[in-house]
Amino acid sequence: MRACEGIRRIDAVGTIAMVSDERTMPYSRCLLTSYICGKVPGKNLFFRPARFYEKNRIELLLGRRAVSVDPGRREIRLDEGSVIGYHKLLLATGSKALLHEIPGKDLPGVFGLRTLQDAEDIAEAAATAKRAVVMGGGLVGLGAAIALKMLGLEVCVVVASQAILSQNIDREGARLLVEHLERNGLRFVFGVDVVGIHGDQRVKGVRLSDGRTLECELVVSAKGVRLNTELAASAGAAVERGILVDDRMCTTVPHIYAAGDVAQAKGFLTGAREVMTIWPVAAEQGKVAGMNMAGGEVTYPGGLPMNTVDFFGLPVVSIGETRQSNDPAGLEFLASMDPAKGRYRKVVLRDGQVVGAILIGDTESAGVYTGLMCTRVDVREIRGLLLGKDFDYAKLVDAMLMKDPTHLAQAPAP
Amino acid sequence: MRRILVRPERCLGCEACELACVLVHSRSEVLVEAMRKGASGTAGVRVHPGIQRRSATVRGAIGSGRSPKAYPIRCHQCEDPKCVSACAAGALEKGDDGMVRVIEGQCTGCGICVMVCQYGAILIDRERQVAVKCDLCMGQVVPACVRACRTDALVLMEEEEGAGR
Repeated sequence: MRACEGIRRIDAVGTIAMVSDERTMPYSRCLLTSYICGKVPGKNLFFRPARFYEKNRIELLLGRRAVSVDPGRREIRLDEGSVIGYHKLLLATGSKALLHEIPGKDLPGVFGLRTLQDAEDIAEAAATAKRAVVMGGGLVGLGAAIALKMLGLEVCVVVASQAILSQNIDREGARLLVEHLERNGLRFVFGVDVVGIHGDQRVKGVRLSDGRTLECELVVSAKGVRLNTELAASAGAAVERGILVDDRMCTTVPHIYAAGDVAQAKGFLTGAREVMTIWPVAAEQGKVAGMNMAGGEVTYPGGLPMNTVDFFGLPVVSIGETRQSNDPAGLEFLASMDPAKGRYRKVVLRDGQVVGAILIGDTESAGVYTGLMCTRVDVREIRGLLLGKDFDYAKLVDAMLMKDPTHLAQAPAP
Repeated sequence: MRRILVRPERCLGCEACELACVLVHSRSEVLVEAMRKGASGTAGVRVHPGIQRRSATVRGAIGSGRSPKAYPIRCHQCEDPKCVSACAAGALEKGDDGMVRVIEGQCTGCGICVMVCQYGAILIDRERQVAVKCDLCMGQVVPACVRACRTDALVLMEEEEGAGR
């Protein structure tokens, strides 16, 4: 969708076709958990109304799956056998929920959470269920757990590691959040796996690796995603974890581009090619790919991991390098914790530059930290300001712009 | 395209812009009420107990950073706005007039826009779960903050600019 917008920025006349195996117009996966609990109505899930596709002359081929690519003839083949030619091809095939091979995973009442269909199925099952088990303490798992709790279910989250959000925040922040989530009625078990799901017609419970069982009528598995790289492989494009792309979002095969979850593109902080399965990064990649496909010359500045969530009214933001660091050499950590107020702020510096930030409770200035990362400003002289409750852009201007106005020129993307 | 420019060297930090912004976006149009309770639910200016009011809110994020040198925070109506690209609800758009606006019925208040705006010019109204940002006082010839500024630290720029997108 963002790629189509990118194409149309450069080229108003070329034909665009969008193939999707789902039957709906592009929608926001980020909002699915809010949709499950009724906070976001179904119609609001769609990024753009139908008239957007008409106006931009984008032909939607929905409910059809592309099965192979012939880069020599520049054609793709669809599942029902038809063939479509292309000048430029974008692979934005995303990822799918990873359902681990455990006994009982196919029982009715066991769901992944990736598609609108999944969300609808979960909402329907939740209407009659009383207890739910969520596998996975990442963003999707916690989002699902909160949605189910808001629908009135008893929810237990099974986390294989010792902390939630291990990909997003550090242990101190995670502890604060677990306490907050428990106060709001979620239950957690740590350090165990679900090893089996039992039931006759439907799910009745799960068995844990420590021998315990949890009774439930609904299971959501949110243990990561698998990238849909098959199509890229059929075209002969280089695939590592994701489809490798250069700074123009072009794969190793000419005229074929990739963007979104499935792409392995430059990371802004590391410079290495990484997979980042988050919407803001996917959107930016799509835009860059689209513009280049239409003949533009746009360089992708690199993606910055970032997430924002609302846990029962407590906002949480993580940006950049924020995971628990096993190798803190070269990193400097500034942190302030106020458990009573549910407030935590941590800023990670490397060589005097901000490379990560965690904000819990008070997230209004989140974007200013993003700006600092993108501009790679040396913040050593103002490090005293960074944890301040009242830190905002004005403080930054005051401290830095007055000294050297070029510091804060428009930042490059992420 | 209309855009509010800031001349920081002229800003005294009087916050007249912020008050004007609050007032014009309030329903009551009574400043005292608007400031005290954030204008009958339309938004909330944050007044920290014991501390001076800091940046700003209420639809248009205009305010001042108080410390020795003040600076009004407001939307830059970026050429290629990160907030529009990053919005996970398709609820932000840059119009043909160049203004970045929130489509309220579509916005869920998720806060992705807040996270990507390096100017901190978008805030979430938690009560209504919707993003609030400068709307250039739509319908008014000159935005309220610009009118209110006595030192001409805020100036309205009208730029001729063809294809916005």
